[in-house]
Amino acid sequence: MEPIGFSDIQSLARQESSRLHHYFIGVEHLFIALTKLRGGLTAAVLEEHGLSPRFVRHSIREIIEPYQDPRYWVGFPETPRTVRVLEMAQSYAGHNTPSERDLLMAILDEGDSVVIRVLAEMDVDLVGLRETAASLPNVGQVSVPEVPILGQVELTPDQRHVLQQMFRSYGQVQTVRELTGGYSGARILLVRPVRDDGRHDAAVVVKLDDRDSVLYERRRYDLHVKDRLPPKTARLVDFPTAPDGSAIGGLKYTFVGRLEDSEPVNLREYASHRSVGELHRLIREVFEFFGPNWWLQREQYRFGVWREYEHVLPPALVIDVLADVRPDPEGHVLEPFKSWSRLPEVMPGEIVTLSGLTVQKLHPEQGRMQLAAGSQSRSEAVNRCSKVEVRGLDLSTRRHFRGEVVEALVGRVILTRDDLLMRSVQDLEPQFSPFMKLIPSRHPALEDLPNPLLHVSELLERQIQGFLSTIHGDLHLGNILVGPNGDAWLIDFGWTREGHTLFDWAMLETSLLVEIGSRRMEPGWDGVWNLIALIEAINRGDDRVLHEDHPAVPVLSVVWTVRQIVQECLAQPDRWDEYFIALALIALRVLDWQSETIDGRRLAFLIAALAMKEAQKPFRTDGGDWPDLTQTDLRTGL
Amino acid sequence: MHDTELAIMVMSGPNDGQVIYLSQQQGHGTIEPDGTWSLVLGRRDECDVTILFDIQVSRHHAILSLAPNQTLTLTDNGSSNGTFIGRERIQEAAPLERGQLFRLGRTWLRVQPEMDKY
Repeated sequence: MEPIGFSDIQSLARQESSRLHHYFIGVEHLFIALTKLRGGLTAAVLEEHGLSPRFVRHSIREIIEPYQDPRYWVGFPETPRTVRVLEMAQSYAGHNTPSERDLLMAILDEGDSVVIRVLAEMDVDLVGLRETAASLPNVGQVSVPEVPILGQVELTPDQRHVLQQMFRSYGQVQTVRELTGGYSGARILLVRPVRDDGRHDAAVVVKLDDRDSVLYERRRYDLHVKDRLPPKTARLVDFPTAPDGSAIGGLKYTFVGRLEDSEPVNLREYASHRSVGELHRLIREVFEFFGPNWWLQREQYRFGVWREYEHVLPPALVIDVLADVRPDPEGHVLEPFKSWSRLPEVMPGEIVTLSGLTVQKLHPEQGRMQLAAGSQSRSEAVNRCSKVEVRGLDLSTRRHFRGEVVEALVGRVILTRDDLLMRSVQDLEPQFSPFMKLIPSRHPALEDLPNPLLHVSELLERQIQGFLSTIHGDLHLGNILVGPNGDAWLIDFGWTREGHTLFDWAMLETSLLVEIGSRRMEPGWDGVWNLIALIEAINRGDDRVLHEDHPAVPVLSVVWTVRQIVQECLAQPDRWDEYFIALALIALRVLDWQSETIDGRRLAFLIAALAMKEAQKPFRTDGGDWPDLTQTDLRTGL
Repeated sequence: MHDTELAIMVMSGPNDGQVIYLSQQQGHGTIEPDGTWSLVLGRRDECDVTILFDIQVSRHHAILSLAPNQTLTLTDNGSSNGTFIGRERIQEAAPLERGQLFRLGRTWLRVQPEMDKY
């Protein structure tokens, strides 16, 4: 047993500071860290004075507020006041490392920090508080146990360390299994913590990912999810675990509800091991549980499609960095929120200067990073648009960090989005030319389909009259969990935001068809075309297809349920183009999911083609009169 | 000659606890014909008091002036996010006490009650 050290307190303070996007260590972060020590002196002193540590933290955070600024520096500098407080704490400790009490006394004695102002505002008796802090005996041993990890799931040392930190108050942790899913490289595990006395706690779902993503997800959760959850669901109760010196961090989804001795499964597993038929009920249940606070908010939202959907597509450009070249003021300067990323003006080979883009993701070992528009808008998806992948960086000599705004980076364009999409389609071994306008039909009941690759820019330029609501942002089958008593829960809030309501449902339909449907058809392109013909009937609202003899029919009837939900979420009744635009772009996203089978990706490509065709007409084909396209408000610039 | 000096302490943010010393003799600020000493506070480097690391602070955010009778006045200079004394947003010139907290953007500041001599 290793006692809580000064470095644990500093690490908690850094976590608090990251959470608020401050990235410096103020006295307020140190104090919040002290209040969070389990069984610590500060919590006991506050409670002695009738204050809940949680409420004190909340009050301080309300005053200091999260920042929206770009990050100004690497690391966590201490403020001048923090330096003074730490010096005082050191003088109280003499030759020892300062204890929790030394630090608490120093904060109270310095007497001029935000912490003191907040406590004074709460009418706390500061003199009395100081006396209690000086005299209260140590509550007990505050400690960091080294937790053994048992189970079959293989973990890297970093991942083990995060799990140990996360469950530091337990006797041991058993890894039950890895839940499949997560295309981002994150690992989602089911683990069962066991107490010191051998009692098993309920299984929890843990996500391990790079530390920035984990901190970011917690932030999305605080902003959009926390206050809008139905009573029974998965929650993020604790702060993210992001140990010092570790590139990864972890999040713990805790289930509220009955889950005693049982294990949740995700819908993907549920469909393959149990019953596809049950999915109707579960998906309905998710809609009814979350709907009132999420998808049914129905705020009018008129937007250019690119604002919500460009980020699902491959990067607009891939650029090889030219380290020694100075920016050319006469040359091509690319800035976010300009239409360049959506128009094929920039050609491979061209030398460009990137300006004002924000670092979104770093891959130091591969010398790559991803840039995008940055943070400034009400619609958060737009921050991920204008995506550029930068390669050939030497990140050992030139440091970058997430959130940094890159002012002038010169590089040569290697690939455009069109090239990337074209490559993905060539990997599908197509029986048609991916450069042709039309894809010749291979099914008697279908006409030729438009080639979606040639319509991407046009679709991104369309305007949608839709609804804005809280959305999950990554609603695939792996992110819906089912407990044994049959309740459905959502996990993974890394993309949760205010966004276009139909985004989630287009994602779920794509996931259903690609991940379950493609495994229930004959292999090869013929099987794909046969399934597409059935989907086309669903698009027409023809439910006779649900009685056909095809192994994918149970999946199609779940798609039918999704469509009924979509119907309730359309901004204008029967204007299904709002949905098909979303579906076409989201299906294209699947093309570079390398973990998906080739038939799954082929199906996704033709789903996109069929949706693209449907998106070109405003009403469902079973309706009688179609209005003249030029008289609608569908396009910009007309 | 007697120097006129002010010390301003940053009370929040990454520079919390920093003290900025200003002195007429060292050429900080401007002296009006009536003897009033004016200091510009803002994000720009050339301000007498530069507030870094706060996107809510405007370039020339506010003016702090010290009249010959030693009274302090704080004036918002058309900033986008406002100047506050305590919780009150000030519209134009407002009297400021030494030791009273005021805020530009989200950065809290205080004119120190007594000039510390070093």
